[in-house]
Amino acid sequence: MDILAKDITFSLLAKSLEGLALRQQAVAQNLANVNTPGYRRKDVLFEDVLQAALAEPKSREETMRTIQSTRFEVVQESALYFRNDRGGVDLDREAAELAKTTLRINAVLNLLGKRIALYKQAMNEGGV
Amino acid sequence: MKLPSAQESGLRAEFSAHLEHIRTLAGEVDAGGGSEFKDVLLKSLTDVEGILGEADRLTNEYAAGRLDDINAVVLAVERADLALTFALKLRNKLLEAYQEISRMPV
Amino acid sequence: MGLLGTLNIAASGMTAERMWMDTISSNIANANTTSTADGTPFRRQLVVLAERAGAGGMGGVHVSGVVDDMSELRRVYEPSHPDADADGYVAYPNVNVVTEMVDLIAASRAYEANVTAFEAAKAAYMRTLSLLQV
Repeated sequence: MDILAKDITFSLLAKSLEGLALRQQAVAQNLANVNTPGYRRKDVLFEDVLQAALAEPKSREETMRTIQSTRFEVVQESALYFRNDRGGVDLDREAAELAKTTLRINAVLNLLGKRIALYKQAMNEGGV
Repeated sequence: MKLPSAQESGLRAEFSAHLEHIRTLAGEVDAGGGSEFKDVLLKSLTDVEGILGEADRLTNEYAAGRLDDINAVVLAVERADLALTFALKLRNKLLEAYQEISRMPV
Repeated sequence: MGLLGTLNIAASGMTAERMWMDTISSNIANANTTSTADGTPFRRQLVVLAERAGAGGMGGVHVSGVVDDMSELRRVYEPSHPDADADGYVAYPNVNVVTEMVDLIAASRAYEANVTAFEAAKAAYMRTLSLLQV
């Protein structure tokens, strides 16, 4: 009855949302510190991690376990972006990152919502 | 302030009667048949209770301000919605089957 | 990883940039103030920004202080000025209005960017809630 227990796509979407939300926070941190001297931009690396989870041939259960046990970390870049004596952040780049991340969050939420709606529809009309 | 545990209140407790009903019906319908169906069903019901309990737990934490992650709460609640809907529809089907069987001439 | 955390971070950015803009405005307004309350000429002020580590690492930014720019004041020969010294020189504030305007644009852009981040986090939050509708 836990319909979503075996739904790898749903888990992947949920994990992706987690990563994107954390990235949105990192970009916000970058924007808040755009004029902080010596500040280095932060990011969250999660696409590689999720792709690795899908890469090797694995059983469905293993893939599910790998996805659900994925943890994301905030990483700090080592290079400073020099702009006079101010911060190490390129405002335009961060603004673009924010826009991209927000769009992707919307896309994932829409996909999640649709997926849930489809399950509900299947239960109502599928004569369960 | 002690938050109510998921066992004491909430969705899980609220629907435990329904889930019990399903257990009973499963026993009746499956009487004498292979136990596989019944075992799978009972295991599934335990899973449902787990999902409802998790939805309760996260909702409580969020409402009390201890949890920030709205995504986790919403997804847990949606998951509970789907699991419960499925369980209740299944109960209705089992009830129909039970009533069919009861009507059969011996 | 709260979306609420993101709102706090963006809000702190808005606050910090606004404080900077206020400081810049004060510098411009006092560009020719040769005598402040304690008799000395006005000195250009700077905000000191520092990253803030919140719960879980990212807490936005805060203004850790507003300090005087201790670079040299402008000395202008004006013997008839009430604040002229014994040699007839007046010490004017070390404010360069052009520099202040450039800073004002930077602060303003940063402020707007933080507003955008705030709105984006808020929109994501609301969109998540909409999943709960039927």
